[in-house]
Amino acid sequence: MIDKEVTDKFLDLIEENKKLIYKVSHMYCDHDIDKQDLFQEIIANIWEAYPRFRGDSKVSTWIYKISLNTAISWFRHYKKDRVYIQYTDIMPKNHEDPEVNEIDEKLQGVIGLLGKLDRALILLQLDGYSYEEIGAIMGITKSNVATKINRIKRKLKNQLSNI
Amino acid sequence: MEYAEIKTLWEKYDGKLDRLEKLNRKMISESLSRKPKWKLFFLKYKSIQSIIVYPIALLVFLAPTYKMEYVDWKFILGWTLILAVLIYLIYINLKTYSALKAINPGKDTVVESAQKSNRMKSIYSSRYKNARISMPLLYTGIVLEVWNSLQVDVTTILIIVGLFLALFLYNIKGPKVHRNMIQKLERDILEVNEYLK
Repeated sequence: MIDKEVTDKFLDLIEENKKLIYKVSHMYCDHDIDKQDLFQEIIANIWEAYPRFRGDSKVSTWIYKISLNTAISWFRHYKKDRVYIQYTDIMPKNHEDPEVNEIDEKLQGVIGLLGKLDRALILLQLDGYSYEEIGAIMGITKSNVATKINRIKRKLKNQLSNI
Repeated sequence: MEYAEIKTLWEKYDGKLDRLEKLNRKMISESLSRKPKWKLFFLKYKSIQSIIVYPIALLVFLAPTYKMEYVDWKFILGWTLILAVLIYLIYINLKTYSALKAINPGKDTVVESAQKSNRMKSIYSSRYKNARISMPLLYTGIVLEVWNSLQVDVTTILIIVGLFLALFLYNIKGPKVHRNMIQKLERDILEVNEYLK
C-alpha cells in the first residue's frame, strides 16, 4: 500500500521537474512512442530511487542524474514485475506549438550526432550546469568534464560546418 | 552551426517548453472546471426557476378558485400561510443563488473554495430541514384557500391526503437527489483545486 502523502509529494516533484525529463527523453529518442516510453521509464526509476533520496544534492540535479542514467542505458523494453506509478500529465500533443517541434527536431539532429555519454554532457552544459555539477552528476572529475566538453564542441563544429 | 547557436536554440526551446507547460496547465484546469461549472449553472438555474415558478404556479392554480363570497377566515389564513412560505422560498432561493454565484472553480484559492462550499452545504441543509415545515404549511395554505370552492366528499378527502403523502415522500426523496448532486459538485471542485495546487 503506497502512502498517499508520499505519492502526492512525488507527483509534485515530477510536476516541477517534468520539463527536464521531457528534454532528456526528447534528446535521446527519435520516435514519439520511444520518447513517451523513456519518459515513463525515467519516472519509474525516479519513483524507485525516491525513498533513498536524502536531499544531499538539489532535487533537479538528482532528477537529472537519474534521467541521464536511464536514457544512457535505455532500450525499449518492458519490465513485467515493476511497480509503476501512474503519471499521465505529460506535455500536450493537441496544443503543440509547431515551432517547438521544429526546434526539437533541429536540436535532436545536432545533439543526436553525439554518442550517448557526450549527449548527456552537452545537455547539462546547455542547461547551465557548472563543470563541477556536471562532474558530480556524471561521476567524473571537473577537469575531465572540461576536456570532454571542449572535445564535443570541436566535434560539433566539424560535423555541423555544412549545416 | 556553432555551439553558441545551439545554445541560443536551446534557450529558445526552453522558453517554448515553459509556454507549452503553462498552456497545458490552463487547458487541463479549464477542462476540469467545466464539469463543476455546468453543475453550478444547473443549480443556479434551479434556484432562479424556483423564485419565478412557485409564485406563478400558485397564481395560475389558485386564481380560478377565487370568488368574493369565499373570503372567510379559512381563505385569509390560507393566503397568510401561502404568502409566508412564498416569501421564505424567495429568500432562501436568492440566498442559494448568491452562494452558488460566489463559487469560482479554478479561480478560488483552496481556503476560499472550502469556505464557499461549506456555506453552500449549510444553506442546502437548512433548506431540507425547513422544507419539512414549509412544504406542509404551503400545502395546508392551498387546501384552506381552495376549501370553499371544493365539494368535500370522500374522493376529495382521499385526493387531499394522497397529495399530502406524495409531498411528504418528495420531501424525503428530493433532498437525497440534491445532496448527491452537491456532493458530486464538491468533489469536482476539489479535483480542480487538487490540480491547481
